[in-house]
Amino acid sequence: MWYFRSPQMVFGEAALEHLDTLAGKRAFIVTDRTMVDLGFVNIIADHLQQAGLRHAVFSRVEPEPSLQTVYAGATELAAYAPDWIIGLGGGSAIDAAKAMWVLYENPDLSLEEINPFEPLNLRRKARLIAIPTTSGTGSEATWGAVLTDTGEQRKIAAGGPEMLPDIAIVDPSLPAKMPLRLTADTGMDVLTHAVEGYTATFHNDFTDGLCLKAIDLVFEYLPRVIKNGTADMEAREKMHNAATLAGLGFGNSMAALAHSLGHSLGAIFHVPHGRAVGLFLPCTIEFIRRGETPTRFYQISRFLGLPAATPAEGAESLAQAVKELSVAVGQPTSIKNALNASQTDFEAALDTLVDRAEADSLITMGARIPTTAETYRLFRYAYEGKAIDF
Amino acid sequence: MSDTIAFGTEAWIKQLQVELNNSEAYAEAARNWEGDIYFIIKAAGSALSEDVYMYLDLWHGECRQAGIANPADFSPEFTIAGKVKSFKDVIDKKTDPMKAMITGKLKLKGNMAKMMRNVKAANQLVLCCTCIPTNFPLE
Repeated sequence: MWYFRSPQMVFGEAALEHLDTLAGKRAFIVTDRTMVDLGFVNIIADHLQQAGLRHAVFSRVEPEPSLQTVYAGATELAAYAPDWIIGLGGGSAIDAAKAMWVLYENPDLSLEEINPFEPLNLRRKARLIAIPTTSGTGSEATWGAVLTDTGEQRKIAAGGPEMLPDIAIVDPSLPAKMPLRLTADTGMDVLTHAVEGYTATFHNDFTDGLCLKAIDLVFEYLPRVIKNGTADMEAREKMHNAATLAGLGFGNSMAALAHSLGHSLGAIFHVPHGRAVGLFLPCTIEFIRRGETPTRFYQISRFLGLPAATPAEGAESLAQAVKELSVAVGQPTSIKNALNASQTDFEAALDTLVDRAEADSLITMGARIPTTAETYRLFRYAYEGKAIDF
Repeated sequence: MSDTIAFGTEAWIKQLQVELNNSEAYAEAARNWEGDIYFIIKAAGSALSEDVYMYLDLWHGECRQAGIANPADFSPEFTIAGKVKSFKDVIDKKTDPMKAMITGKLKLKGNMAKMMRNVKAANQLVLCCTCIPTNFPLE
């Protein structure tokens, strides 16, 4: 037995107008300073006014949101007592909104206690709308929230099925002017979600099509967005849709090893999430396909029209295609090219990197689970950008 | 059936102790784990006459104690409770243990933050269960 969960999806041009139809009294917008500066918060506020809702704004969400930020926002949220919470921004803002929502409904809970096994009893006080302004995390379509314990330099995957937003508004006007570097980072996040969603142990018939479609869209449209930028709104819209499709896909199956390694690298060296997981994606394809359990990477390659006469060839084709895409969109293909740190710093952090990766529950979600020694080797190979041969 | 061990018996949980203590993979994955567990097997819908409490004391990759207990014998840090069929599906690898817990087939109680940081150890524990030739007291 398993479930497929989805928010109500509002997508396409002028999707934000759906806000005009909301019924309620007060909305609390969780966002970051950039969204205020770009005028996006004002746009949302105008729509809320159309609906007759008052609003308040918490705009202090930082990239890789900390536990402290979430607690601070939850305090303001509780004081305002809204019946709608709106997460506006990239995955950080939406994840922070999810976590604040949990605390609003469960004031005695700590963030580390959030888990998928116990009911959270959400929606007694408010419902959640997610409005992504980047095309990457898919957080608008998932029930997870990635937070950072800055004291322990650890990412915390806080999530429960109830944390899925009620409504996701996927309006292509919002990411239109996203900087190209951020576009590339988030685009690789989409690809990693989709590949891992298709190949994770929880994969299922309901998510396979979503993941394959998202992969196809990324390979076709991410290079176009990077090449043409704002001039290519069709490509922007396709990537925005791809992010949400991949979110629905992996959100209803699971992410896996590239995410556990990427979370660890990101927490310690502050590499942007999409860049980190995208960097590890080809390594983990190469590693997992060498395991004893049959994998499904070759099916993706066949879907893309890549050489896949055998499962091994298909997996290698996919890993190679991911590497070529990374290069095409200006992404690093090794840790050493991704870090502002020396090899000495990397080696000094290696024990912690391995420890954090092993403590990430997603490490068990692939067809091959690395031993501790293999996790060390994965990091070392990824540092050099070497193809995995073990 | 003669070569199998009945699930929910002293022999079964003792065999799990042996499997855990012989597993290098478990020792490695659980090297930081400190905490004891009750597996509570619900009698409802099975051939059991009453709920069975199987106790495991797990400490840094070692299983220090294992046995059938009375509910009040210990106050373990974690409990995992479910029907025989739910445990069987996990041990037969028909259901992923995480899925079983998310869907409520197995109910986990305890320090969730700690459990979520030790999923790899939990995974190895389940693999050790699968190594035991088991017969299940289904109805």
